[in-house]
Amino acid sequence: MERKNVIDIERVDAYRWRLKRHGAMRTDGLVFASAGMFESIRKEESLQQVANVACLPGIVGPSMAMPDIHWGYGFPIGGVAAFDMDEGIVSPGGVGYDINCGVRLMTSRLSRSELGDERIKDLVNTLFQNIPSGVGSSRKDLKLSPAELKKVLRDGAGWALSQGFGTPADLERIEEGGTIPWADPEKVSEKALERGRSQLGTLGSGNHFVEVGMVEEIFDTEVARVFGLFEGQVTVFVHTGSRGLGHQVCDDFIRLLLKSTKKYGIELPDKQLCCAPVESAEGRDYIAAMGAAANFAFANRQLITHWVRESFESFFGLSAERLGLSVLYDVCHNMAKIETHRFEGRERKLCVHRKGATRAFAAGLPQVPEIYRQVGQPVLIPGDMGRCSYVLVGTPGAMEETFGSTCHGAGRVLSRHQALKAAQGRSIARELESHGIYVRGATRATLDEEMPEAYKDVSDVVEVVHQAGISRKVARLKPLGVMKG
Amino acid sequence: METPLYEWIDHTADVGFRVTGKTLDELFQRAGAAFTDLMVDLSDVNPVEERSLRLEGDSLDELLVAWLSELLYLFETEGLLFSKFRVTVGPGVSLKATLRGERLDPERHRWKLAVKAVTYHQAEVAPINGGWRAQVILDI
Repeated sequence: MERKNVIDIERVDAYRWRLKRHGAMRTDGLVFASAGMFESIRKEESLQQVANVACLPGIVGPSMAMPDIHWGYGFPIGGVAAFDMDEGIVSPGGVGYDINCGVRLMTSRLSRSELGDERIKDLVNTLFQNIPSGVGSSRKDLKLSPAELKKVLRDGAGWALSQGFGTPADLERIEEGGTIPWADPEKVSEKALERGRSQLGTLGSGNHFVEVGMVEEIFDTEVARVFGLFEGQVTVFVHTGSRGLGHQVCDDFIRLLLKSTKKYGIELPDKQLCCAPVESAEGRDYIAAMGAAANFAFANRQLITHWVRESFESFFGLSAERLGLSVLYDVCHNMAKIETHRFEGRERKLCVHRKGATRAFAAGLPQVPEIYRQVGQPVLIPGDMGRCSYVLVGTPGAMEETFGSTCHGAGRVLSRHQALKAAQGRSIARELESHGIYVRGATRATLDEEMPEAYKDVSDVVEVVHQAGISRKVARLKPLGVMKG
Repeated sequence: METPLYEWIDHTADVGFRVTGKTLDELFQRAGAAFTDLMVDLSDVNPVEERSLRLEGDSLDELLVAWLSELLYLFETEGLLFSKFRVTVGPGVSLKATLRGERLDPERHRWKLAVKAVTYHQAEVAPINGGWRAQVILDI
């Protein structure tokens, strides 16, 4: 515990904290947080993890952490780090087990008044019936042959579309168009394929969810108009990732890269940070396999989107057109990407790791879908199931300072064990219902672990990134009904 | 009072556990049992199906992670949970194991925790007074 006293911390301004380079660190650490939040962050081991990432070869700019930072394995959750293509590394632990875990937001033409309290319950129950969730769940009508599964890994959301799940307009509104082009299914192990085969189209468990909500407040009328948001509008969030397939890809490559780390003489403060040079055979193989797992996740969210639409259509007895359930955007949380950024006055091709962080590109960039290019990339920040969520927009500030990155959610404050203890003798479902939010979990334990007080208040997190200028508030959403995996 | 099989490690985003054993064989057996008990109650798992496996690693820490990852793989692909473990560690950094258990039965097994992966973060197998100690953090 005395380790953290070694870290020399300097307050840069109201929302920035610098961890001064020392020991094996090759660069400074930079944490975005308010003074209040930083008080609790500094009690955790996550700052040591920011410092550990700063020790990795070829890091460009500081080792960063967003205000939702918390203690992860290897990289902190909320971590952002960019590495030089020639001298830098790629690290599976810097992406995480749930490769391309991410969120998607759908908007509708429905308004809150069309969805009474009792109907919300029935709607959530309908979603529960139509979307497999929880442990051991599988989609019985979606058994894929090995060849078909490889198509999923190559084409991502595009595969789902080719099977009739969704429309071309959906693809435009997904990060990378829903397909990582450099994915190579042949780099994914048999074990990973086996774990993924029955899990496509399932939500998973833990913090994954489908949430029906409404737009409660608009902060930026112009951007909200471009995003198609209006006050009182019914929305749907989907949060899930690459399931067992992505976990196994991460596991396979950590095992492999533990060996590469030795081979390339890289010193590691934590085994979980094992890595390989970006341009090495092992590095390239990992990037290709990670891309394939990311495509599995894009396809997964696309399938679930389709079943959300079907559930709404059958529940309301309205046409797809009348409901207008369209994808606003879909962001990745756990990814490393090869991107070009301007750093210290010149264009640099970098391998940007975002682990529990979101890309937040500014207006004008070609990676931002044309329909949003004049305002910037939509950034989706889900909160806990009891408070609220946000839609933000990417800014030039993020391009200048964070390689176009921002926070990804609320960030846990209580361990699962502490949360279970705090929930003893209470009914989290009943408490939320008294606040007008109907929740249903695959198990009671899921709801207890995911109780709102287990998380930071997402409004505080968002306020930091907004004030620091690395993204801007567009709208706040309120949950109405939540299905937890 | 009987000593608990394992000790929780409180981690903000994830969970971990510590086990001890008089020998490495016993340590790995207990780690396997603890892993099952995080998911469902160990005593509810009937030892009716058998599997055998062999694993190698570069260090005992890595062997521990590989061991638990293999149990997770068997659960995710076949739904198998194990309650009886016969493990022989060695020669070198390797193990062979015979496991007995059964498939998850949602009617009978009360589900506790879903594990995504077994991490190397702070994973450790170390000698202690009169035996061995292991700890591991799981991504959940």
